[in-house]
Amino acid sequence: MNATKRWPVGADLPSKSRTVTQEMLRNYAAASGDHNPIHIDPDFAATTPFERPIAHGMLLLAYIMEMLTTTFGADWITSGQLKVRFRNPAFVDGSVTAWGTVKKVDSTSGSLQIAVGCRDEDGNDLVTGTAQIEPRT
Amino acid sequence: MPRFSVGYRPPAQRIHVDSERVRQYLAAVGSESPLYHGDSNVTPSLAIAAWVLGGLIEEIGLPSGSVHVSQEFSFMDTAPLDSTLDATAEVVQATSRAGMDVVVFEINAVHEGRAILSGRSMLLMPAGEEEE
Repeated sequence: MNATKRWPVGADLPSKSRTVTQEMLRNYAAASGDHNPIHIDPDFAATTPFERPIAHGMLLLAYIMEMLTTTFGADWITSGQLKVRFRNPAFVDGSVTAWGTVKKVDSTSGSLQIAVGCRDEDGNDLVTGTAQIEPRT
Repeated sequence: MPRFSVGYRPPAQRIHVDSERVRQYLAAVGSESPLYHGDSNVTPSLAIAAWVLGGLIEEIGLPSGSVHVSQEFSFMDTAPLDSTLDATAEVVQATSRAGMDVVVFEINAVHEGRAILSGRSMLLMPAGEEEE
């Protein structure tokens, strides 16, 4: 079955929820090299408009990438395009759910346009954007 | 005026990818993708992007209070473990507004002449010195 039939318009990609912890942010800072104190220093974060640590945007993006990689495999990491905007901060101890919904299918090329994002436990958009892929299998 | 000007290029980065560094990244993001586990020899694309951005942030001394506004990526190819990548960045947009600088960096990562990924990162940062 080709990708167009497997992923019709309106199909949802498998979503996954996680709870962001301060330890996750410390680990991500160490792994990525992004040590911005707004993510890892509660005392500093208290002086910002957010008042408490917020997750790295690239960590939220990693959750979207995990969903796309799990769904489309090597096709995604060799031909995928992703465009997102970080809408709202994800706070420590908050829940983040990565989601994706097929919005457009090109029946000729097989390319898919997928709305993607992350939401918090109250349904607020944290990240929104679009992924584009041409599945080969 | 913005603290960075269009055309500014921070020094290029050489990024060595080893399995321990990848393991640390995968654990940090909780990845369970079979593409990156078991006998896989593939470096996670977003890990490369994260290291490029992490190096960029360190190099430019991103001021506290900066915010990552938006991000674009095109993934072209994979890089194997135990390889060395070359990454470049360039400011392609820089404006000031309401005491904040809006700066867009274009980034590219290459492995042995093959493009691995490209992207655009929009950062909002406290404004630099006011123009006299």
